Amino acid sequence: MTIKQQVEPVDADADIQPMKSISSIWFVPVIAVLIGMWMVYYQWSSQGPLITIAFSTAEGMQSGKTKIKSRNVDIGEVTNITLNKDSNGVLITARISKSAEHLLVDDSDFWVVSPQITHAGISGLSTLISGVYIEISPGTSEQEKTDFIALNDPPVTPVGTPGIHITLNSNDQFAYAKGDPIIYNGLTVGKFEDIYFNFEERVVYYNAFIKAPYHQLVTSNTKFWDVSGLRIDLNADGLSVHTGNVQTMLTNGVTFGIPKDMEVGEQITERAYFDIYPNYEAADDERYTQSVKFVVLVSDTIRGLKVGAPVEYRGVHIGQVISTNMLVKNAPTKIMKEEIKIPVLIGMQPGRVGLPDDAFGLARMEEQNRLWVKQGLKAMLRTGNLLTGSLFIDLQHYNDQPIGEVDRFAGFPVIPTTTNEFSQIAEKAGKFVDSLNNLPLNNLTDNANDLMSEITLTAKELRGVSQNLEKLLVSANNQRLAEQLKQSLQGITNLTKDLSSGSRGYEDLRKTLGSVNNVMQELKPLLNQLKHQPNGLIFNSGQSEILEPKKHSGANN
Amino acid sequence: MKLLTGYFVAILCLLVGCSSAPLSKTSYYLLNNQKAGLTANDVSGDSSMPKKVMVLSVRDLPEYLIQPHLVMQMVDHQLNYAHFHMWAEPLQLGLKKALLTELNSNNTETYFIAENRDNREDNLATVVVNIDYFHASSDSLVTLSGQYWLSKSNEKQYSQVQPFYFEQQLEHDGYPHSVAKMRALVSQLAIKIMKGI
Repeated sequence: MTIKQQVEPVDADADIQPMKSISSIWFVPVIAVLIGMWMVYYQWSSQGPLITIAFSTAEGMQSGKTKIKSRNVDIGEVTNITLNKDSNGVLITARISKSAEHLLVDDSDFWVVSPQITHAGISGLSTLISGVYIEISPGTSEQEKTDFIALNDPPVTPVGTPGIHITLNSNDQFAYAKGDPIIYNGLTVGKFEDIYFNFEERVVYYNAFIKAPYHQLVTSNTKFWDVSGLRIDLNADGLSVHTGNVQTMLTNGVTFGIPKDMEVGEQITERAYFDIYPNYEAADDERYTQSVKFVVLVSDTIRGLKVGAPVEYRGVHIGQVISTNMLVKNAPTKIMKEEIKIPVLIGMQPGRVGLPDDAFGLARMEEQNRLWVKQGLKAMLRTGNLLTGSLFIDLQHYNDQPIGEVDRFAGFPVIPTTTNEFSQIAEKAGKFVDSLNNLPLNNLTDNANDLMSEITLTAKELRGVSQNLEKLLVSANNQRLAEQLKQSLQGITNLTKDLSSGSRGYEDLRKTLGSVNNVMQELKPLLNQLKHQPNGLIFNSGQSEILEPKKHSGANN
Repeated sequence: MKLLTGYFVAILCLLVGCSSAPLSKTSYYLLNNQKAGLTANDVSGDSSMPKKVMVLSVRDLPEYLIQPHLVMQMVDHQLNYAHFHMWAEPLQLGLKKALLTELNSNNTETYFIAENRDNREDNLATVVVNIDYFHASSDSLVTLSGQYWLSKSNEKQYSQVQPFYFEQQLEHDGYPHSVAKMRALVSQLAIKIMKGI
């Protein structure tokens, strides 16, 4: 019964309604799509710019791993590495975070940081473990940029470092490398940044940077000179040793300063050009721009006389040798009978003697020297250092016959010369030998022989006289000595008699000594007691018992 | 001021009290007393004075006897010098006198004289005495020991050395008795020498 009721359908009216065409379940994927789109937009809108950097090589770099850092803070990552079109370099594509977008300006620099060992030190050791990374040095420009060319080496001076950029040039055989120091009083105040060789001028230009606050030391009168390694000068002034600091003893370097007694000058505010001189003396000489040129015709050897050797007037340094041999350009055109004198060109600088270093000083000095030359001023080669044989030119006044006109050689006035010291000594020695030769030595020899014969005879006579005198003195001495001995022996005999055994004196002496001996014997116990007890004279010694021989035990009382 | 004076007097009394030890008086001794010497009869001259003369020579005494203090031997190797008992003359001289006295008394054949500078070169017969020990000891003995030897006149050779050793016991206390016993030992030595001659 119960089962039958369950099988039969229930007769009821259904409420049939029409179905909706789109189900609400479809909102779920729509919302998911919208969220996805929003995420894509967010990702797109928050990521930084994509930049390209051109490197010569991609050694050590990997896409997706190599970071781009600024001051050791990650600001991006390499996303792709490809060769450039010419295959002579690589193009690195990197994504920079949006927060570092402002670093991508025109003068920003990129370079690869890798382990480096140079004379300046060791750097980048951390990359041995972490791998290389790209460092960015932010620029100061306001122009944005996304394509860069990387530096091959890290910049010596980061962009924006306070200081001053200067350009040094040298036509000497110096060789400075990037990073070599610039010294001031032993302090490293700057470095060489890069090198440029000007083929037209055949001069090497060095861009250098002097950091603040030392850039204030660079003025218009500042001179730069070389202090590479250890320089030992052995010249006419003696031996001198020069060096910059410990670093420049191993590498090259320059130092700078203002020569003594020179004005400071105006401070340099923008890039300026300076020459590098071989040493301080050369830099110091450079301030004397004007010089009066004279020629000295030397009849001695000029070995030891070098360009730059001092010219002195009575010991005062007034100039220097400009050329040691002008014959190269002024050789005689015809055969000469007389000897050739070596023309040496010297320059006398008016600035060294207190005259103004200009045309007025130049004219004044030339006029003065011309007058002196007419009145006997002469030049002479002197030895400045006996060890090295270096020479210098000394100007001295001689009271010779005044000359009417000053000679000229190759357009320059000539200062007459006199022979040097050795030549003068040799000349005097020659005159002395000649005088010796002219002496009448034969007559002198005969006279000397006669004189020696007379002296010999006189000496013999003197010897005879002295022997007689000696005998006389010996005789007198012997008699006197015998008398003195006799008196002494008599005195000794008398004394012996007085002290002989049995004599009165002897007996008195013996008795006296005996009495003294007895007294000393009696004092002996007292002295002995005092030795053991110094206060025994006042206090009892404590030895009350007096030792005496005792009778034997068997004896009767 | 009075207080200082009082202190000074008190300290002075204290020092005087401390230093007031009983005084000991020094005694001097002669080994050869006058009673034992020659009598007046001996000196007056006897016509029968023997003609034989011998010289007595006493060699230098040991070092410990060349000083005026009497000596007592305490133990085997220790001596004590008496502070207040001293010889009145050098012991060597006293010993020589005592020997001469003993040798010349009751001797009718030989007369002994002391050696001196005058008879040293006379080649007289000589008896030489050398003393080794001559002192009292704490064990109540007085000792005299040494050697003597004879040399006849005009002979440079000495006779055989004769050692001697005498000792006597003390019968009374004190140094005076010991000196008397030492004198008695000298008499014994003189008798032995006489017998040897």
